[in-house]
Amino acid sequence: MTDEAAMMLRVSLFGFVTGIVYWFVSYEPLGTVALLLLGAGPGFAGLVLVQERRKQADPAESRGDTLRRFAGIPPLDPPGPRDKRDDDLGVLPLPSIWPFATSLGLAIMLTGLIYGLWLLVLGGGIAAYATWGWLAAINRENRYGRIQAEDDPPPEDQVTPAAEARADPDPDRADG
Amino acid sequence: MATTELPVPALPEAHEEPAGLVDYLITVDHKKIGILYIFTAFAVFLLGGVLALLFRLELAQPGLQVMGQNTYNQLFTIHGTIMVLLFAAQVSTGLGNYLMPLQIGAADVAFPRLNAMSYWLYLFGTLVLLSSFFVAGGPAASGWTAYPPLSDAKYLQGTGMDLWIIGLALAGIAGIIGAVNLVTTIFRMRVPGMTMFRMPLFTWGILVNQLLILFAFPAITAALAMLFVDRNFGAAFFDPARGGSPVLYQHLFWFFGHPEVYIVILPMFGIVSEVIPVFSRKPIFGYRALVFAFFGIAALSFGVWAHHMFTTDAVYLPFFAVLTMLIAVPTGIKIFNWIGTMWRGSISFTTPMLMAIAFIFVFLVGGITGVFLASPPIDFQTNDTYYVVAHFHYVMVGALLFAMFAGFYFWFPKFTGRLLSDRLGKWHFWILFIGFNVTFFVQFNLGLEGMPRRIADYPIRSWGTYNYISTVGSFLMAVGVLVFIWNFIVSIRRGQPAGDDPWEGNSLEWVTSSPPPHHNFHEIPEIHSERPAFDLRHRSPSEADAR
Repeated sequence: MTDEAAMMLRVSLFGFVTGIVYWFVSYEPLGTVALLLLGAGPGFAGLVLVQERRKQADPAESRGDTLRRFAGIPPLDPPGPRDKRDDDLGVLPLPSIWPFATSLGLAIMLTGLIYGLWLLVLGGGIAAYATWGWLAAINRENRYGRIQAEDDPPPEDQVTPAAEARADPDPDRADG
Repeated sequence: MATTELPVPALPEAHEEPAGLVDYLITVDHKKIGILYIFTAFAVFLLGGVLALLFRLELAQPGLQVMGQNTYNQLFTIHGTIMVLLFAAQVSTGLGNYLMPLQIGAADVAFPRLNAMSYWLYLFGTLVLLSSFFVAGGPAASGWTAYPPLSDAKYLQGTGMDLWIIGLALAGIAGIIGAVNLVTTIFRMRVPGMTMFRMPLFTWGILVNQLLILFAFPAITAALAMLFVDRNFGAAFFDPARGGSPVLYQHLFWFFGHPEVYIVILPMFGIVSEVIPVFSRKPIFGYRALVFAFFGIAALSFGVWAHHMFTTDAVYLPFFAVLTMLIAVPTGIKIFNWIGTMWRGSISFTTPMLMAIAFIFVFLVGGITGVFLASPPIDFQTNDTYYVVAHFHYVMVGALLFAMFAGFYFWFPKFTGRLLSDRLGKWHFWILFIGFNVTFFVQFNLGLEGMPRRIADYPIRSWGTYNYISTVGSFLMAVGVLVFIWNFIVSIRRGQPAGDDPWEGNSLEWVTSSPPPHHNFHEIPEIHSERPAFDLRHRSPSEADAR
């Protein structure tokens, strides 16, 4: 179990325990549901993190270490550096107008709930167009590499280093 | 030098981001987005402050001198709303945006474009809400809590209240998106070697803050949607005449509203936990205890919402009283740890350190008066009086402002490469500290004498003296803030060059240049503890050679 998962599961445990106690002292449904949801949300996130950890190639943690971690005590054998691909640390996306445009569209759309359908449709149109532009920009970056993504697709013989790296990752590269 | 070399993508010159306003419009860089958040939130703070000065002027004497009842209601509603939801909750997101990726050694956040979208939604939400000043009937006048029936269509007509709802809904969506982003960043993008328990405490504060946003904001977003549907489409969620319940709104609001206090204050705990060790020249005392106190406070904050509803007679009092009092335990642990860090340290009383110490003082006053309020018999006596206003402002204004300014003075050199003037900083500190306490301490007395909050006029003349003192204090606070703005303007142009690490800091942001490059780091030291910058500075020569 990772520290992240342990934290989420602790919050989840708190939500379930207080939810159950709250129900039996108050018989008040709304607060009980809210507290149980507080248990369910982080609990789900915690279980996803546990499952994810299991899929990794790291040696499994002993049950004793798992319990110690859940209780907040450092494991006997402290974890080493986490596995991380080098390019996780260095690749940055290009500037983009689409987050601004999408937000503007959403704001106009919601304001349309007050002032009328025409504004709602206008805002929805802007938001939809901006979302399409956003996804298209990501698609271009993925296909042609980050540097040229701003421009038209490069000719076949001008493959960017980034696109080349994606197409043909070095099989010998260590992932640590 | 033992470092982790990072494969930094070499951008050609032609593809460097353009400078200026357009640059900020299209940026997805977490540092620029952080700056945008901080500037927007600070502008909102100034506006909220001006509104407060206006209604403090009205309250300085009995009678109505400056404005009418309705205008007064509108001003305190917008003051409360923007200060709590559009300033306090957002300035920490700005600082977190800028600093957290640096502190964990990441090049950016997990979803940089989504990060930009969070900011723009927040900005547009703020603008939508403030646009209500220009519509017929003016802005919302229901108080920042917007309880029905005060906020329903029958008692509050016009579109001001609707713009209030839509504006906050946009900011709420922004908050949820931002929280997903920052939590993912902390979970997935830490540099190799930085385990969770080697993260700086400010990053811990941001993590817990964003988790709270993730779990609390949906409740208020749902409540706002229900209120909007009630007002505009004839639903009756909160209308008792048609089977609804106003108490339902209060439950939903406070299930968000109490964690909101900690959404605001937990990153401030993080700032203070960074500042105090650096200026005490000691490691933080009880790192793990502090982390667990963060989580303890956060978890408990979800179990105490109905202490805001004691007087509705619709909640089970002992449960909420006990859990509320329990929050004093992790809070006490924190204060003990901060004092333990300073104990026998080599303390230098720079402006950030003074601000951090003031934070402890005002938060202690706010916290202790909160324990009294957790007791139902006392709460019944003081509910909706100025005692609550004073308590709330000691926690949410005093603690927030002093910690925020501590953070500004501490990290300004990292943002700009220049130091803020310490001389002006000390003027700023003392004026603000005196002004704050003059403004709000007398309000405890006003509350104990029974003065209700949210009234423009008051019939008892003896309250006039306290109110007059409070108004003088509020203008003193404004002078303090003006000194800060002057300091900012002077220092950003002619401030003393700071170098990369002017304070000999502990966390990773002090390892990189000031301001940091676009990709944050050229190289990162190996992480062996929660103080990598300290480790790098004080590594023995033989150890360095061995690597």
